[in-house]
Amino acid sequence: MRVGESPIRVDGEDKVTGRTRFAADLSVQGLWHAAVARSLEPCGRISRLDLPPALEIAPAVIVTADHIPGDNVIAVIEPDMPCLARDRVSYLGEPVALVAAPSARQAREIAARIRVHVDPEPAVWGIEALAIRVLASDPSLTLFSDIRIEDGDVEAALAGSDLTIEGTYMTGLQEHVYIEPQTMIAFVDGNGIRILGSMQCPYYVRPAVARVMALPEERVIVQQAPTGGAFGGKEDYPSTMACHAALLARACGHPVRLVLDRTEDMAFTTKRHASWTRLTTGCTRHGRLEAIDGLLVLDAGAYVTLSPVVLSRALLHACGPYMCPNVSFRAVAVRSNMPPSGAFRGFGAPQSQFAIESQMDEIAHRLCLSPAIVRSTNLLATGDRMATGQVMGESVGARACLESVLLRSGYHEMRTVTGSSPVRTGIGLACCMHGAGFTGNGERRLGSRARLKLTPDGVVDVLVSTTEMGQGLLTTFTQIVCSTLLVPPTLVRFELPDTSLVPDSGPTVASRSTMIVGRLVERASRDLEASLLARIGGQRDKEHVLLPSGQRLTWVEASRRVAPLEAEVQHQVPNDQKWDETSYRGTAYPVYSWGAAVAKVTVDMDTFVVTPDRLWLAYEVGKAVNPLAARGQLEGGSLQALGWALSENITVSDGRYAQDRLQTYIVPTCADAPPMDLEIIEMPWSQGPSGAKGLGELPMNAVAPALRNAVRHAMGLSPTSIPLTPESLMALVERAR
Amino acid sequence: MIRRTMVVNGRTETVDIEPGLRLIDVLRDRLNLTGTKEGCGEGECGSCSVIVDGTLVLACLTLAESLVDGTRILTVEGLSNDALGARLQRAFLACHAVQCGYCTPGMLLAAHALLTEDPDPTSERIVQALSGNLCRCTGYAMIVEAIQAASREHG
Repeated sequence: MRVGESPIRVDGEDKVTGRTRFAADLSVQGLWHAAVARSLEPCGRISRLDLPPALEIAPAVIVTADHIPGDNVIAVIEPDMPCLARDRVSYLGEPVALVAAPSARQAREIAARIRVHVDPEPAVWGIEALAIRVLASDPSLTLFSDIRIEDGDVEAALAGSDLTIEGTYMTGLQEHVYIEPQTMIAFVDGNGIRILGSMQCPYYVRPAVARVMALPEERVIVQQAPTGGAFGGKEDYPSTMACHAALLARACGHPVRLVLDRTEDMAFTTKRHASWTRLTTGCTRHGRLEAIDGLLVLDAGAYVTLSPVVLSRALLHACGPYMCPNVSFRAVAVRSNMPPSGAFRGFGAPQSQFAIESQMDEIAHRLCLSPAIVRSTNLLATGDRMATGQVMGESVGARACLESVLLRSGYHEMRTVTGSSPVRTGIGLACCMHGAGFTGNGERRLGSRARLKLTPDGVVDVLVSTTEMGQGLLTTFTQIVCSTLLVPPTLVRFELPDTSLVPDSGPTVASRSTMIVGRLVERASRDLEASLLARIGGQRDKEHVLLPSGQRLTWVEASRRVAPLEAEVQHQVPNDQKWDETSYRGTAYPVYSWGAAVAKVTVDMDTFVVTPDRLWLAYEVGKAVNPLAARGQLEGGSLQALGWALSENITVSDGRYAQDRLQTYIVPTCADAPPMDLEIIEMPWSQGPSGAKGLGELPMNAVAPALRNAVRHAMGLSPTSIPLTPESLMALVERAR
Repeated sequence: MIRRTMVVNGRTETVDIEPGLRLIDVLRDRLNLTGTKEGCGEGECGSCSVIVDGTLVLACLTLAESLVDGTRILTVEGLSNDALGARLQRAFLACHAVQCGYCTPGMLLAAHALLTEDPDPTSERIVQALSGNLCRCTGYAMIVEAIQAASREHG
């Protein structure tokens, strides 16, 4: 089970036999069930809260903001979001009261009897409306974050360019649709609280619960249950789930489980931010970028949550994988009266790269050049400098990815065929990059830790807070330990991600787990081996330990002599990786992963239905620790991007998402998935485990613009927004008439 | 309250059913067979797919009282004791058709129903048979490959 192999998943057998117990599957003695009463108005002051009389609902309990023992706040970054609304509501669906009852049905019935009276105030939503107000510098707008990258002299460069074009691009909201809905259980444990549930980040949940419950952090224990998909949707929202469950458990004295039903989950939990981007680009007549002047707007929703960091990543990817000597790019996250948007695979980078990749095709069209040539002319390579001043080092696979998809798809030949029949074919191309790990100084602040313990029976216990949510992390970490220590997988064991047992390895986000925590596990393995050898006075001889006497011990025999042993390591950011948060200059990410996509589509010019016929994909990931698991991530992410581009449509009606069910929000099924012709390219990065870089989010970036560019090729018109629904394409044709 | 006897994964079970109880509740809450998952509760995601008297059904849309006495039900917990089921489980593991595992039980049962009817399906037939089961992790190709592998192993 070594790095570079694709062994069967370590959690696989439990998953194919139904033995894996997700949080909704656990039998808990004395369990009560929770329901949430929410605001039915998007904005206004709460004038009255009608609760059914306590005697009528007994033994069930109701919790409101007045019952919160600690601070009524869930602070993801800023302390602005209440755990339960008390004086005013800021979005439709905002939690106002909680119910716990012996049965889920009772809890729901009582919650439905709670009336939240609101004096309504004007509410704002809609990305286009927000962008117009940003352009007009409307003082009534709240900007949660306003950041920029400035490099060179954009004004002069635009004036001197052969071609200057402007484009405006929009991307829609996207729902994660993890198949397991949000689920959380809270237990009152002695004088503390224990939380068990579906989540990405146990160490995000712990301080949130401690603050609301007025407990010291060590009296809150947070355990991750097996998690049925997350994609960012279980990064920050589980903190809210856990605080609600904890309040109820304390109120009723029973363990309490809160499960969102699918509609609640779709209507009120986080989404990918809707975006609006205006680009003015200047270039030479050969297509070389001279200047980018940009403005990017994200609709943050009602509270800050993660929006500033999503915005930051969006801005840092806004020039795409290209070199441009003059850049002036502003990015703002704007408050609205919608549920807070949050983390979703890609974290802003898919939105901003959709804009630049669409613009690259518009540049090519205007210059009568191939979109492949325009990209090839500008692609970043080792030694090139980004607008932040970061100079590209090793492991830059941008060109390799572009060449791979062009060659395998026969892009150039296919571009010559379009046809004028009612059913038209189009070919589109896009390139992308993804900065791996936390943005800027994030990793330095986190100082992630991993610990290994050696037991006398030779078992290596891996203690990390990094969570398995489907991506295959338990398996890849096992491979890293097995490869480093030359032990069989039966000797590798994982402690539960439980804050009372494992150190803080940072959150399971940002394509950082294999690259950062995997590297820590690799280093800790080496340290463990070194201390074993030092204690025993021997050296490694393949799988064995060779003593000075010439005696050869197996790993287990050697362990028995020296165990227990422990090794803990902490991530250290090299000193030459410096980032200045105020000027937006320096090394924003230690390394980037790269990608390219070619999409072939058919567009029916009568119905405007877009059928994706095939995708050719190339992703450069440093090293695929487990090639089949990597393929699963890259294909799965690419299909998620395809859904975002074509069918996953969310419109807002009276402050509510109109598509809040799987009947109306259309996630690709297997009949919608085109064949994917994938090449994984490896250009090892010296600081990653066996050369690996992050890859989880990368596939979200290039597929949507490749599809948009294919539709553009087929129709001869320029779509400016996704999803590319038949309605939006019909409107495009009507506008062109 | 109605009393029903059903044969679940080969075991005879007697359950008292109040009106409106769904098959998924019987399986999960009464029989502790929690391998059958609830993803949406309205028949869109396929996570609760089980086989009832040889036919693939959605347990969240099936009223327990509608099942006649003696109904035979196969859930994910019964697959290991079934030659085709075990073959599918092996193939899903070997082909990395499993990621988060939440859709997996429903996928396995949809595949089981297909291969029972057509032991050597075309890939188009596989795609059609799985199109009622959502997976958000894999992109589906590896699931289709797993079913092809299981069908080849038989042939």
